[in-house]
Amino acid sequence: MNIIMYLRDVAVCFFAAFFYGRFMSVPVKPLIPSSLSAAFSYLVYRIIFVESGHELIGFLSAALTVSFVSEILARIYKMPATIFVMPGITRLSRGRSVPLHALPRQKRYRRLSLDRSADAVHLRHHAVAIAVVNALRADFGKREKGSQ
Amino acid sequence: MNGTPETASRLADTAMLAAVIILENGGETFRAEETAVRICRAAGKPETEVIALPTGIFITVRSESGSSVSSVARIKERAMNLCRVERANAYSREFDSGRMSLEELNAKLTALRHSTLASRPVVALFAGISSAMFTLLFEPSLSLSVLFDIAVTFICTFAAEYICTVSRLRSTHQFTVTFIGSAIGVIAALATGISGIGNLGCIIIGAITPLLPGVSLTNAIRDTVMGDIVSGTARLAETVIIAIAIARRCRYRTCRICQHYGGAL
Repeated sequence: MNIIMYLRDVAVCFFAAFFYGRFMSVPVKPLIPSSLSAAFSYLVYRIIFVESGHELIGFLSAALTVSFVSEILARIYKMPATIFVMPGITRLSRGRSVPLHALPRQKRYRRLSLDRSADAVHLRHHAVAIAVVNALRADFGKREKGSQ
Repeated sequence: MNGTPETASRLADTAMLAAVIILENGGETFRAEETAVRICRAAGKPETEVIALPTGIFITVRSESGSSVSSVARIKERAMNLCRVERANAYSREFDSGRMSLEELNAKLTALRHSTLASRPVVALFAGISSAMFTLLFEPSLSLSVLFDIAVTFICTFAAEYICTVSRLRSTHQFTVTFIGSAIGVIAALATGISGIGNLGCIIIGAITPLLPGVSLTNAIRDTVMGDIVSGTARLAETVIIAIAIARRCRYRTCRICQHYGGAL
């Protein structure tokens, strides 16, 4: 994949996250930082996935990136971290098994079982990334006045 | 602030209002508890107990005379408005820092709770554009059929989100709302089946993105990590039910139509 494709993906992801943020009624002030965070985490995922071929490692790295960056942005802007997590993490949802439900029954089972398992593993990585960052924040982060 | 039962009662009502706004608009349970405790502590009531659940909240404020005032609220409707969560959180911090009185806080929270939401077509428009962008991300290459996919995704999501918003306003159950919204698979399958072009997989994945229970899942994890096991488990159950509703609807409708018309999956 060349640099143009990376740039295209980052730009599209930025706008996807931006409008998703507007859809979720994210306040205007943190909308651009949260969209940039989403685009950056997606770039991390694409680079690791394309260069190494490991989708799961790419996904976990991207989920950890968006969680860490969101916690930092939440402290800078003194806003709930959910505002920054949501636009970034949504794009990382896999969901590839959902359209396979449309396949005829005899074709469906093998592909569906494989993709459903992959979706479940991705979801677990999503959960692990958010849990790790929150546990670190709860244990080591100073509970300053105004911080999240 | 004096310690009369009336003051304690007014304080409990204000703290309750802030917590209810957070829970009704997609905030985490631990944040609702923290906000209520912060307001009471700032008002000189450190011995305040708050228990928040995704479906209700209990607050007990002890006055200096020794009596206690308890308040209970049931959360019947839950929507997604992170702006309100942020505002309620910010108001409580302003009160904590002494820049706002209890009366001002109560008035601002009441106004916030009754503030008008963005209009339905605008919300649906944002959802449609966002989904179209997500579809574009899934496409392996740029071609003419990609434009078709983007257009179909936009129409599907716009229609689904508009229907969902109207259903929510009429207090329809969450499962039903998601079930109705996931009927977008019908439009996608019809469009790709009849035209013979387009990628059904990319369209459906892009179009269901606004319906995904991402906030519920994220809140479930955050609540569990913060020690709210009951709330975390409840939200996880909600996530699973919504995901099942999406998958079931996509399965039955698109399966029937694809078998009839074909389909480019």
